[in-house]
Amino acid sequence: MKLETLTPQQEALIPVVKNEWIKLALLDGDEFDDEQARRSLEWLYALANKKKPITILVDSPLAMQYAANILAHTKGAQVRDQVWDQVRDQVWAQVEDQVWAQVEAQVRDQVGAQVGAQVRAQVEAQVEDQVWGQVGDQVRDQVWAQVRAQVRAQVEDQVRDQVRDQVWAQVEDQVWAQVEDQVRDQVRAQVRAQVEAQVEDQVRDQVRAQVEAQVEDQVWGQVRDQVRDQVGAQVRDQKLTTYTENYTGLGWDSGWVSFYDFFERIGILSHKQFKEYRKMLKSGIFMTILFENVAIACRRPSAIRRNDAHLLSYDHGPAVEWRDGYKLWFLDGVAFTENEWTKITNQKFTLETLGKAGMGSDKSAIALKYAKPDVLLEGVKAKLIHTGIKGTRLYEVKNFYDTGKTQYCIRMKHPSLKTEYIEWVEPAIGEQRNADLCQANAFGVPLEDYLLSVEA
Amino acid sequence: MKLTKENPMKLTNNKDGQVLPVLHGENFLLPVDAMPEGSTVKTKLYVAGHSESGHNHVLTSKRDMQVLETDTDRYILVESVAELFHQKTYDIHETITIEPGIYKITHKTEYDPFADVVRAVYD
Repeated sequence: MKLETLTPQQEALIPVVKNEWIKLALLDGDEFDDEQARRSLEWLYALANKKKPITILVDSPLAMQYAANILAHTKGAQVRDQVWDQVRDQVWAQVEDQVWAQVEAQVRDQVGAQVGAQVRAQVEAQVEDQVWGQVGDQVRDQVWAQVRAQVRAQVEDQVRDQVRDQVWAQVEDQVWAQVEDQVRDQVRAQVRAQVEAQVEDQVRDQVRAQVEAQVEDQVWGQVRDQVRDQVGAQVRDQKLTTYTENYTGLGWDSGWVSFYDFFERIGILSHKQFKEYRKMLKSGIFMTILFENVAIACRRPSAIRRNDAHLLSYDHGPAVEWRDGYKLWFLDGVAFTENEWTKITNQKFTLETLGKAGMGSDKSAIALKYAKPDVLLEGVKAKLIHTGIKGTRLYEVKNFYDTGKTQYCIRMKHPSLKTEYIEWVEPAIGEQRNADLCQANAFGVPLEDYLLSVEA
Repeated sequence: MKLTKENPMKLTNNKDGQVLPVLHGENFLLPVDAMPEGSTVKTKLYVAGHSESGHNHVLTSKRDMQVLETDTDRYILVESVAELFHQKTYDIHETITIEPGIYKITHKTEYDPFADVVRAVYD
């Protein structure tokens, strides 16, 4: 029976599904189900008709970039082409398109776009906005910017060291087995050819034992250490390459998967591949970088802090943290470096340093918002000279930053937010010592019209 | 009570029959007597204040409004009651009901004492 309309129970399920996915992606901590994650990545490659990959699970998006760079310098890993577009195409073709067709067949005919639109608006859009729009996208941009700039901050060293250990610990058996097999075969073939030509069968076992023992003890031990040191040095010294995330994982897919999850829960959808894909997300994979033979995935953040509008924002510490110590700093959804964030939250910016910081309009606006006007005004020895009818206060700043000039600024409340902010005024207007006139001039309207205006 | 798009406290620029100017964020709607000469465009939705972050200040009406834009000025003829709302879901400027009339739309500027220039202010 096709769905005619949502029952009250089904409608009540909408926020439940939405909140579950937001919780899973952003609030549930950073635990990985390692086994499921690896199984799911292998399933994903099989779905895209790819060979079973080596799977590397790391602790942060930055760690993924380091892992990709380290592996790019590891011959055995055979990291060549990224395959995200191929994998993504398969996910679209074999999961998303099919599940939509299934839902569409049972819903759309009967109730048009109504139910779909409702669930999209109340589940998919909200999950996607909060998870990808506010977190995933921001995280990607920050990681990319930092990798591109090759920041040599302490955290980077820390993450890099941890990643190197993690990567080696995880790939040693897998990658090394591939290298080992190739080298072993070559060595064995050459040694055997020579040995067999020169010695009798009865001593072959003895020689083999000695050769193999030497290979094991000397070749593997020495080569392994050398390769490890060289890879580390190369990654340290060379400019890092930024690898594109695969757009696969909770950070990207929570939106559309939550949409279909709802339809599965109300019995409209049953799709094997969708269930597998959902398992992959529920294993805790947050982001991925997928190569031909190697799949790298990172876990969810250990902490995500947002404001009431769901924007990444925290003024007592990093807004996003990962297990390996990688941190991102945000205020009201705008990303800052740790240094900028510290200056803002510790009220270390003055109007001059803020003007000269060259942070751009978004960052400057946020910095001004978090700065206490009193601190800013005190920093330039501003003197209150007039308070307007609507509450705007006009300040005079003599010898503005030793320029010998007198400048003027107005301090006012945001009509809706009730937060205070400061704007500078053209000196010719400021020297008339009328705060309301300064406002009217800024809006380009007569004083009497400004005073009459309805504000919001 | 926190303001949201679904739960705005509506203001009006009608005070005892008098049509008042409106200040909405960085945008000002100044009632004027007549539209200047020039060709107008009809629309039921007009962005009175553009925001780089997408948080536009939008005028909307059930009946077509007529917009005239020159290089320096913008005017709008509101023929039936319109609403000026902030295209944002949080920390919004309250929605204002706009009376019919002709308005000149201006945008706030501020002075930069370091560069000695006047710039437009944006959200």
